[in-house]
Amino acid sequence: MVIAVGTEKGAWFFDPVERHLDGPVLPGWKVTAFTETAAGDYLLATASNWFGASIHRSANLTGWAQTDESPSWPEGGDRSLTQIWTFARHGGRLYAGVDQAGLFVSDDNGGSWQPVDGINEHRTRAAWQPGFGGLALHSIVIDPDNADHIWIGISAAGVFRSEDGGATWTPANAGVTKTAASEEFDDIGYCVHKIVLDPDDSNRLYRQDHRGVYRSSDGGRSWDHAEDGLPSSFGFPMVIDRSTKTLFIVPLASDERRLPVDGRFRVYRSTNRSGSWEVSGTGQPDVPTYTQVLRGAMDTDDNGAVVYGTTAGSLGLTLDSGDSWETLPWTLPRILAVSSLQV
Amino acid sequence: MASVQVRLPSLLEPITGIRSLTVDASTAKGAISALLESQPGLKVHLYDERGNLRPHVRLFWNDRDFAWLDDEATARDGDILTVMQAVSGG
Repeated sequence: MVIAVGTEKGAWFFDPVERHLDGPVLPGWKVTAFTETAAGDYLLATASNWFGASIHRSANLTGWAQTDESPSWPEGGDRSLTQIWTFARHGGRLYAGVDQAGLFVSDDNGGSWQPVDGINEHRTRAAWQPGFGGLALHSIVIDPDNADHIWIGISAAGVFRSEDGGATWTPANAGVTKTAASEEFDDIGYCVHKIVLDPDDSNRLYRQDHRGVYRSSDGGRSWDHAEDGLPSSFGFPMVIDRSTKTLFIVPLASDERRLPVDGRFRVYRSTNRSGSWEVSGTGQPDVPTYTQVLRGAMDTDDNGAVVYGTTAGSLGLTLDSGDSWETLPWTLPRILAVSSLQV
Repeated sequence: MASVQVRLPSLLEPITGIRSLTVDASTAKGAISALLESQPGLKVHLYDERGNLRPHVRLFWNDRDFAWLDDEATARDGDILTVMQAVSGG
């Protein structure tokens, strides 16, 4: 396993066994997402305050070359692609979620990308409102047992679900408190921050939202608060370790402050499917730590390892599903993305 | 056709593998077209989907910003097309 770390100024790669850090790759570029392809190579997404967003490919995580094609909106249109927020893969099919909000699909390992019109041209699109981070399609969840079942998260429109491989999409937010209500469409206006799927039940989802932490037991059709034990229900990242079924989040004091509660940076975990939450194990920072973890900057290898990267450039690691944590010795630029990659 | 030297910022070197190249063009505008033909991976970084130069990218023809240049300005041997990323702040 290698941990890929995308920052405001390049990418680094960390071997948690050898304790070796390689990088920077693409110094000066924002690196916003990573994925493996079915062909066994790797993709990373870049963005920039000056230049456009694109994708780079590597066979071995060392030499990287820009791909000939990246997701893009039609030339001459009124949309602009500013960032690739996330990748998701099911078998040989890759998805990319982008800002301005859109979903693209590739069936040739990222060689070419096609827009998923069912969501990109959704009847509600004109009423989608950007969040603080932009109008982004930042979360993609695919049922591992049924590739037709897909959930995506758009800030600040909400969660949408598809049961036909992306041809049609239905807003899936009942029970969640709105943040950006639309007068025209009653079923959007939700600021989802992250969604994850339960490893054992594809009707059970979890959601870190602007307005709380929620769970669904009916495939996202309805949601209930799941915040017992949390110091705050606001936050961004959420992951689940499929080996132990443990959920992880990082609460922040409020949407106005966006700081750890009382300066106590803490990863919280739930070992009972979000029934209750607790501070995750030992070894978390014991000094005032006023930083946060962005939504894409936490990942698990689904075998007990969980890694997060902070906006202050530090990295936290557990290898025992949150029983014990360590802060890694390096300080990187602001961390935007963390991915566990198999090598 | 004139031989025009193109200079690129370091941030674009991972895209092109080079910091400078020479293109043949008869006009300033033609030099940009020749650059993008030679280095198609640059297009997404210099222009948005609307075809507009990205707001924090500047193209200079010798010492003049393209924004104030006649696109059909004649190219001469030794002219320099410089791609710059705008820098502000302190």
